[in-house]
Amino acid sequence: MNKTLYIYFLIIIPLFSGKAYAYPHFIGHGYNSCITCHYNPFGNGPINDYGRSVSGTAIAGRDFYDENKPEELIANETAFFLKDYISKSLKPFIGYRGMFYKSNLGQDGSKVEFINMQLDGNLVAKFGSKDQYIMSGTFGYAPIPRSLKNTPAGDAMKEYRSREHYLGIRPSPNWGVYFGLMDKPFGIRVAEHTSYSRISTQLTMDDQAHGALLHYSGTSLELGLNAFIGNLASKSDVQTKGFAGTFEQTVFEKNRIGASILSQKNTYLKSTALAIHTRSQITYGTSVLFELGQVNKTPVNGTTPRKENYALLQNHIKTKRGLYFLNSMEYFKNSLDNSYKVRFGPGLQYYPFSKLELRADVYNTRNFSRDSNSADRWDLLMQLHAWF
Amino acid sequence: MISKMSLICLLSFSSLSFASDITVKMTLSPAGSFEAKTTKVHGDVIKSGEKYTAESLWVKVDDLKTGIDLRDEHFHKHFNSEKNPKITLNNVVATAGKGSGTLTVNNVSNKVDFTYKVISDKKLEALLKVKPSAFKLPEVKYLEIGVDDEVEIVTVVDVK
Repeated sequence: MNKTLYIYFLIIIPLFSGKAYAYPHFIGHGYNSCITCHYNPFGNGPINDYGRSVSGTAIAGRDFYDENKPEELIANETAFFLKDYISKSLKPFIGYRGMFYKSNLGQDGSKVEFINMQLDGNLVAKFGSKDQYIMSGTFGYAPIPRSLKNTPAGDAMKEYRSREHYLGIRPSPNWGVYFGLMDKPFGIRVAEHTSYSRISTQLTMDDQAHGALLHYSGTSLELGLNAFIGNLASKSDVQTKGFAGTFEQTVFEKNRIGASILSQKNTYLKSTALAIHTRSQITYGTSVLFELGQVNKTPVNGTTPRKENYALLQNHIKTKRGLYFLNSMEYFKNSLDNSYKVRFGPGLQYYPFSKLELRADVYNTRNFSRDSNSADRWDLLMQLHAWF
Repeated sequence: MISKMSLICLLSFSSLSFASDITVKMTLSPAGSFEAKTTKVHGDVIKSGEKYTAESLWVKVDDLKTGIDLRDEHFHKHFNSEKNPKITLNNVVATAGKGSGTLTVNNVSNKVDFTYKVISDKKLEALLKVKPSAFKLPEVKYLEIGVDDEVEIVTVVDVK
């Protein structure tokens, strides 16, 4: 990469951007599709044996290993509890995410919390002559979202539940069909469930739905179509029914462009979302993601409909094996009062060794409204992500 | 704000290539890709009128790097680099954007055709596609991820 661009991405973008981190960034390592490393073709959930090996030998650092430790041994240690791929058909996985959160830095109302965000156990079973059948079940601790606490919807949720379970059939490497509880394919599936691209579209950590998913992955084209009937474990009035679709096309070798559509409805709200996005490898290990979307929301009770617009720009800059700068800039606008928000701030992501991710982000959020002024808000998030 | 973000995105939205002299591009199955690169290309390309010739162009297999150490180990082993350390392209003749030569990989030689374009008075960029199986290289499979049996080679070479 020429020096100017290197300086641009290393220094200038972090100054203008905010949070980021997410595994769609691994297009920077040449992995333009989630299915190479994940069982779910659109990512999330457990990683397969190849993904484990890549996480240990390409993504994670080796600062804590003896310099003579063979990479092959590191790859083997990425298997479940150090077992060297003990079973070809059964693949267990355990994942945990916890976060230290300090809100409103420097303000009187500043609070400190530690949140156990996720503790999941997962088992994948693969069978068939070409492993064309797959069953995946995830169960674990999932806290009630803060916004739903002490509400009827929150009271109806259980803290121990499944966020994903499905049966998949891939008659060929290119085509797959999946049935069960899954995330809806839409836009760039960034890891941050608080990003506007996920909040506005209602695709956060608890918005999975039962349904059917068709997936195609070709040399340069990837697409997914999903029809869903809501999470059948939740109350019927909040079960969201509809469809979602997304596609990505590789252009200029190391870039992907895509578009998505989502239409869903429950007893209270009907919404339609459209988005376009790009993902680009800049140099090996470094990437940029961009998504632009619009969501139209119409309350079923006849109150005023609203239009929401969002934009997301994230980069992921590899400084050395295991250590990344993560930055994003987000924009969100609500047509009801013409207010808008801008959020940005740098982040640091460190994989000291296989199976451990440490991340620290500082977020600056600004609210702009015709009717009121509010001070800048600064938040600190430090996250621990471990898996076995 | 949006326009700024779009500008930044557009700036990044190009396939940026650098001064690598040879890049071997491989596609993973079911998805993904990787490249092996080296700047150490040996041999000379000579221009005579509109014709370009080279007696022998070669790289060491072990000089090709993929960005992941373990993948490098597998890559070099796959090419049997201890026994056959070089990849060579001999008897190269090219004119009017097309050329041919004899490619030797894994001690197996095959005639190959390629296309090229003139980058400057001193540089050519050539593109050739080969099937590893034609060079008796075994099918690649690592933890159920394979490599397609078509490899693209892009090389930028100096012209004398």
